Amino acid sequence: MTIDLDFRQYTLENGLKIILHQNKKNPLINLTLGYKVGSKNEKPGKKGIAHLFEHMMFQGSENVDRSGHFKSVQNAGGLCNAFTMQDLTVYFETLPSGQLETALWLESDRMNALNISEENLANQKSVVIEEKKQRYDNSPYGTANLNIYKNIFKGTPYESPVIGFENDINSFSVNEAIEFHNKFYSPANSVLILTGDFQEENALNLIKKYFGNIENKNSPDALNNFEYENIEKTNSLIVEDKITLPAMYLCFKASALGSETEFSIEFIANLLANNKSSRLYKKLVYEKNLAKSVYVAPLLLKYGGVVYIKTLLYDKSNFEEVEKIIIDELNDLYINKINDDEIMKIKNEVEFAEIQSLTSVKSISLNTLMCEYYYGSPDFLNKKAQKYLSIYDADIKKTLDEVFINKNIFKMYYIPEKK
Amino acid sequence: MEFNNDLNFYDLDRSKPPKSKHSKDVPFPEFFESKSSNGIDVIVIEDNSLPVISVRFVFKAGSYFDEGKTGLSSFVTDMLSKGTDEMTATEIAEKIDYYGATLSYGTDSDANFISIYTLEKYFDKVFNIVSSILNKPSFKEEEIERLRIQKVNSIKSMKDESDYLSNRAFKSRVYGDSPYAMPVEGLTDSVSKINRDDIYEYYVNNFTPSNLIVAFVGNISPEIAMTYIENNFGSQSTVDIAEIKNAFSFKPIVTPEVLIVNKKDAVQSSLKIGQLSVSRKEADFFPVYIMNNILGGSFTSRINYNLREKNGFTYGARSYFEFNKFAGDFSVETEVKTGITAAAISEILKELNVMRNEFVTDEELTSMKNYITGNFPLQLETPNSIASKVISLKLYDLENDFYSRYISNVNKVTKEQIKDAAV
Repeated sequence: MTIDLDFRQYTLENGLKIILHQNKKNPLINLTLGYKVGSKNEKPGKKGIAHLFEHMMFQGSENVDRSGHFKSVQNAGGLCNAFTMQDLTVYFETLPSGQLETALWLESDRMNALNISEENLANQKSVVIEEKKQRYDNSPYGTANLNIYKNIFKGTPYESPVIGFENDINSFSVNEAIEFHNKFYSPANSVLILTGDFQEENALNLIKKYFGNIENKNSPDALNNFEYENIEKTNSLIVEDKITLPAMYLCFKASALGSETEFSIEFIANLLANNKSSRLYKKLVYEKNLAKSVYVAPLLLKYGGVVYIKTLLYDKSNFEEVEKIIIDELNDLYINKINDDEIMKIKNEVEFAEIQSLTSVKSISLNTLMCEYYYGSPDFLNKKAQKYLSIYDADIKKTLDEVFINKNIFKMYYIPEKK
Repeated sequence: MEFNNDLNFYDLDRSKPPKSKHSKDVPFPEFFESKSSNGIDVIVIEDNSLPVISVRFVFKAGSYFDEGKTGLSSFVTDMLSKGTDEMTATEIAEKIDYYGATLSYGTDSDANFISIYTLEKYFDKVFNIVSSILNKPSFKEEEIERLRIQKVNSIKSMKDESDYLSNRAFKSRVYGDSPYAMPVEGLTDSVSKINRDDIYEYYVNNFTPSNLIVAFVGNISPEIAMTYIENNFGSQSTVDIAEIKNAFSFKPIVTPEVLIVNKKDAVQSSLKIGQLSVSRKEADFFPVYIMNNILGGSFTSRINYNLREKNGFTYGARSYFEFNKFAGDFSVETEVKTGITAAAISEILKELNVMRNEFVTDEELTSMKNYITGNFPLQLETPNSIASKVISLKLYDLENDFYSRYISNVNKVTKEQIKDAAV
């Protein structure tokens, strides 16, 4: 399989990186703005600010009133949204192709100058706190990721959850918000991606028109302090939650994105779990009826990573047995040759997933952004599939050795609250 | 490459929104449709831009035909891939995964779905698997027991979610003694009682050619698609299904009622406020659709604006119509701070009253029409999303030109019709 997308790359004088990819299949465009700021840039006592700030970006800018962003996109027949992660904050809209200039006007106006008031900020704090309750506090197993990060990434900016803490969120002031914007929402700290049906020269001229005179008011602080400890031997945690089925999380420390191990980690995840022919699914769910589900989640970020194996069990008395089965399976992968069919299966899955990721202008833009940010070039999107296809037994064993075999594990158990 | 352009600076006035250019009109794409010799509805949307093919099998049955055995329809659908006369459950999973394909299935109140999605190069092999699953399921006792454990535990753990509890209470009150009142996946008691005879009987009566719609999407021609259908499904005899009788009567709630489900220590209240509505076919779709989008069906809607952007009660609030084949419901859903539950309810009721008693503004109506018509091409971006629309025409017996007249019908809707739709 070959993926061969054509990317045109430019950098404006103010440092804004521009990536264009034409795709005339449908009369649509997707504009994506990625800002290189996320929860990793938050200071202690201000956890959750990057995400709260994402909300403030929809609260009006110099020339767009408070509900104006959503209303303008809606009037233009488009859809828009945004998300915040540890490393990046991303804003995107998909619109009919004739509406490109509207999208550029909206995005450039909020990069240029926001309009933050006490009232809007107070309102969005309240919205974000309800979001936190809905998605995490009031949700079964909703605090699991928080506990994993806290334990794995101890001592680094990744140790706090992206959603943050209630007191920190409430402490964010209008002045701090303006300062945050000046520091991180500058052209030099962002990437603009345009995918879809447009005429290149016209699009470039419009981008220059709207973004060319935006100044960099301040630059982000350099990040350091991503050194973190290996997992200690006795590290485990039991959490009582309002749940029916107990869950076990076995967490392993992994490398950051961009290292050679990440592609084989994906293989290991799929060999072990995540589909019905995987080894752990067959043993735990199908043959032994010990678990309702098992999945392996690699969470790899710019400066570090974790891989966790989550099993949802029918009975907490089986924690030990399930753990042993998982560890035995990891050892088996390591010691015995993995047969070619099993490896071919993963390659077919990856090929299909890569092709699927190209079906909409939005997913092409988002994939392009991730390649640019994590691998330094959009062209990596064309090479990624090839990376997966060149994984063999030996690569998998090397990664098992680095991440899983005889490594200390952070073990976390979620058990039903006593009534 | 460096951006090197010495054009003079544009005169830019940020205070003025740019004039939008007229968007290209996008007609609803043509699709192939035909019937097999034994009555299967076949739809093909050929798209050769990527080397993938999906096929969806939709049986017009669903949990409406559970006949008192709540959860049966869903149980049968889930059992299909758990072994056939030719392959065990594990062999099916291994083959599907080996080809990198996906096999998915599900049930709702009016239909049972099975679909495959695969690389074009493995299409033949994957199609043969799904053919075996649909034609020769073995329903082994051992697999039935295994699935039962999973389903019962799944239903138990759904009760951990407060929106499941509020939804359940709402449906059972609104839909009375009809199957729409019951959760599609069933209840722990009812699922515990389902046996092999029930499963087999449901399968024989409902997974029939005359109940079936098949939609092919992707790298495949109509001729080849029809050949696959005839060769794999064409020999099944057409079963005359009994005339579908709408045996259940649906009664609207006359005086307002409040149902409370207590969930200890919950930090939010999950609200669901609504009423019985009409079926998909009876609905005056366009006024209803626009009215709901203005009321609570979009981010900029009145209810979301009021509860989230004005009051900060919630992360989000929405309203929607759930249209089933024989009846429907309308509801507003949100999760709010526990302390302001009463205030949130009264704001929702206020918005419902305003919508019932006053006209929407011209600006609201124009903006929503712009959105719905402008957004139409986005909904046609992928061949799979086109297929979903075509399937819905068949499933709910709608006019075939529903989507080709969509934009003109949206533009015709008046403020008066919207007010009527809010009753």
